[in-house]
Amino acid sequence: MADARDAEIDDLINNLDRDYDFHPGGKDNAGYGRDQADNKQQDLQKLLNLWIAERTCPDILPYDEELISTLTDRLRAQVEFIEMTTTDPEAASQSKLKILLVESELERIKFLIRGYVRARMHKIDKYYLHLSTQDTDTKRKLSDAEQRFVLRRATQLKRFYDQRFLSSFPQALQRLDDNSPILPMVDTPDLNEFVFVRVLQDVPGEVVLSNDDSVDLQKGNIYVLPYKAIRKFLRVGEVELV
Amino acid sequence: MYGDLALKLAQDARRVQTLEALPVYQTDLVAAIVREIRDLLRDFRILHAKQGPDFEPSQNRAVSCALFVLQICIRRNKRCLLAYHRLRAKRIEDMVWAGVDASAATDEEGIVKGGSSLTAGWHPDEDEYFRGYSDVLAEFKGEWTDIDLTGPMDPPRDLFIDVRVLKDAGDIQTEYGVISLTKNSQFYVRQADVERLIQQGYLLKLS
Repeated sequence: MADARDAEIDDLINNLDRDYDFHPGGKDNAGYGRDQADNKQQDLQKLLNLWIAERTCPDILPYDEELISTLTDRLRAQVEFIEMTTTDPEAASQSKLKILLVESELERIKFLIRGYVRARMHKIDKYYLHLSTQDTDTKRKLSDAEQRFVLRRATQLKRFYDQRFLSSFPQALQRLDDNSPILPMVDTPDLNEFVFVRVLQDVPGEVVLSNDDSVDLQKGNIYVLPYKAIRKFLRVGEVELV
Repeated sequence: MYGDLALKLAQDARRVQTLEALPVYQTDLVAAIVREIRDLLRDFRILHAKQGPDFEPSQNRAVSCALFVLQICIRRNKRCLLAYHRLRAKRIEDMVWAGVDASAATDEEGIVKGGSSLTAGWHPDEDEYFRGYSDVLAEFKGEWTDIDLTGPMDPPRDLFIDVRVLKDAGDIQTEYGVISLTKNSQFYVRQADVERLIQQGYLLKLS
């Protein structure tokens, strides 16, 4: 009895994609089906990885504009579809459970995106001076909105300092970005922080950690290494943060 | 002794870290430190000017040491000021992220709470920073129409939750009709519909 019910629920879940996807292409969209469902599953997995990486990485990672905008578009389409279905009382009573499941899933995806953006914002707030430099390499990691945010929040904080005490100092003492090697004023991410990485592809050659220490990265293994040492492998996708 | 005031400020900053609400802003102490910095700068200039145009630091060790100490004291004071203000600014930012409505807390509830509102000890400039940062954040949030960035950071479990009404919050519109939130009543509602009211303290989420 219980098995039959479980199977029924599994069936329902498996059919969710087919029944509840709003796809603007409609019937013309012949290629739609399993492939696309797999694609969506992959996107979700990507988001999950992105969220984990951003939370564990000491530095800010490049913003995945494409993935996030795809997912938010889909979220919007789903919400529209749910609204359309629930306004029709007959359809709504038939598919209450399905809609509930879809909505729960939507909340979960929203949570992941929120967590991802918040993890970025936390680092942006912390390293705002470092990130508001005109260095293009740093800038490329931030989305347009994030870049605007960094500059505007830097202005606000500077104004607060100015109002309270900074403006009464001579010019030479007003600087906030004095990066003398003895006492640097700009907070930067600690690239020597240790991170957990899983190796996805064998990395040829040994990774040199310090003068007399190196490590061989083998596929499938998990290592704890300074972020600096694995940064370039992360960028090309040979390792992932866990 | 030079630096004593800045030390007091740094100690106050450390105290702030353990407190829940921001304590009173140290207006006098900050002003005194700014004055000290100006005095030190004046001393520095006078001493430097006395040496004449062809002053060689390596020739006159005593003078260059005095200049160095003055300079170090100035920088230290500045550093303490920055640390104190950055810490308070950070706390204010956290409140903005948490969705605390500081203006409502002072205007509407100020009398009820006997003036002991969250912002009671703030400097007017801090109120302004609160508003400024709120604006910056609001603009950023504007980019995210579908996702409430200041929403809860716990993973969602249930779509519907039990809530108890702590303060009258008027009527809210949900897809199941209008719910009238009167004090002490209890409802089973969609979490997304009442998230904001929970944050603002009108509703209590029952587990």
